[in-house]
Amino acid sequence: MPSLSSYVPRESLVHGLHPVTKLVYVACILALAVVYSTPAPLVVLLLATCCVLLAARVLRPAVRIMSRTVLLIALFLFVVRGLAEPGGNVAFALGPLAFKQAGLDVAMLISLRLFIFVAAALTLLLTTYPPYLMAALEEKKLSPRASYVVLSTMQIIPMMQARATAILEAQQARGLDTRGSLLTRVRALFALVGPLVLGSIEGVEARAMAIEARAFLVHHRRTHLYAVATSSVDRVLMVALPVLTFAFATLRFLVR
Amino acid sequence: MGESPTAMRAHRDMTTVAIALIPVGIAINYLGKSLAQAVGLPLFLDTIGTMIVAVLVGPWTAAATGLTTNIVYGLTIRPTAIPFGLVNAATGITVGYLARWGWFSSWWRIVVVGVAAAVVNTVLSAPIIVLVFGGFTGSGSDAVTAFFALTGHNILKAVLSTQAIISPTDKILSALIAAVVVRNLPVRLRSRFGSG
Repeated sequence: MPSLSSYVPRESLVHGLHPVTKLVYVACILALAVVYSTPAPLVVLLLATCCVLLAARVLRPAVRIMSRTVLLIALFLFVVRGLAEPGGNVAFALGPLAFKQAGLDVAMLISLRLFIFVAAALTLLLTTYPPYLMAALEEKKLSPRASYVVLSTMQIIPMMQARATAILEAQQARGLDTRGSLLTRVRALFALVGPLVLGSIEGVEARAMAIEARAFLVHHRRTHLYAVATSSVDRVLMVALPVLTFAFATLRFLVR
Repeated sequence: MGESPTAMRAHRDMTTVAIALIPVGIAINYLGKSLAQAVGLPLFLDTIGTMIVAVLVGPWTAAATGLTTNIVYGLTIRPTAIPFGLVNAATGITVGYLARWGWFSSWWRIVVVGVAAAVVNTVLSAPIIVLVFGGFTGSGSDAVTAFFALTGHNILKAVLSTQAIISPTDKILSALIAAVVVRNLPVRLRSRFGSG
């Protein structure tokens, strides 16, 4: 069954790591991105995260996602905040448009941090099969209900997307006007959302009974289908990464 | 067993049916954008599911729906959505309590609920948008924010103005849709969920 996720199945070192190790990695990268507030170390950090993505053999899908999300934001930041930032000296001018240094600095800082954050997050998301991630989190005491909700959502969304398309086409075949005046469009919206939601909610009761029949609410130790292994590399990284992060952070504050 | 008051309130709301409803709520949130695009309306409509859960079950289950929506967005296509999880959750709590206090009884009151949700949404998301994203989120509203910023307002005011324009329409319409949907549910199903 197609489930919604950005997981890219490849063979790589990063794919084989325990999900919690990767979570620790994301947290460490985030901490460093916050600690450093000048462009140079942030660029280094970004390059480092991209190297990790390369090692995980997911650099291309990652770049694709980053250009879809962060690039647009970065563009707006440089243009708008470069032009609009109050006060400060002018960095350069393109005809009548004067770009302020302060605005460009802010834009650079925020853009770099966003790219770093997304790159680190993608390192986890592109290399981890969602049920593995959830199973690993449940081992660390995440409630099985939470993991059910997340995984179930990922399975439902593609199904509902298909239903939504079918409903749209059916309604259009019945003469639903989806262009036209504003009021017409709003009415069309009701005609689409109604059947979609009502149909889905009716299935909820059946699903609830199904999971209850499978002892969903029982507070007892569960046996998982997926056994997520912790290797020696994981154990080393889970200690080394925070330690290194702490060291870099301390260094940065001492050197200042 | 010693539980925090918040956890106890959440547990009280949450029967199995409620838990099974959350993924559907999240999916509706997720699809809101595509539905808006299908009829060519420039809205987000990403809290319809949260509001439905708020009316059917209660504020804290709606909060869980809202929070998890952004987590799922983050896990799948948009990692940049994660910081807004608490905003979505707060919307759920607001609408849930208003629903419990009878604010879904007439159409005008529902409009007020929409406005309240818009206010909560704006007040909570503006700081995140400014501090974390510098004012821009990669969505259509960025053009509006750019306009305000370039015409002399500071970035926070620009973001607030953008939200003040877009959010009420979005939230009022979402609240109305949620209300219509709940009213058209068979009575048996409505009581099954809790608040009814």
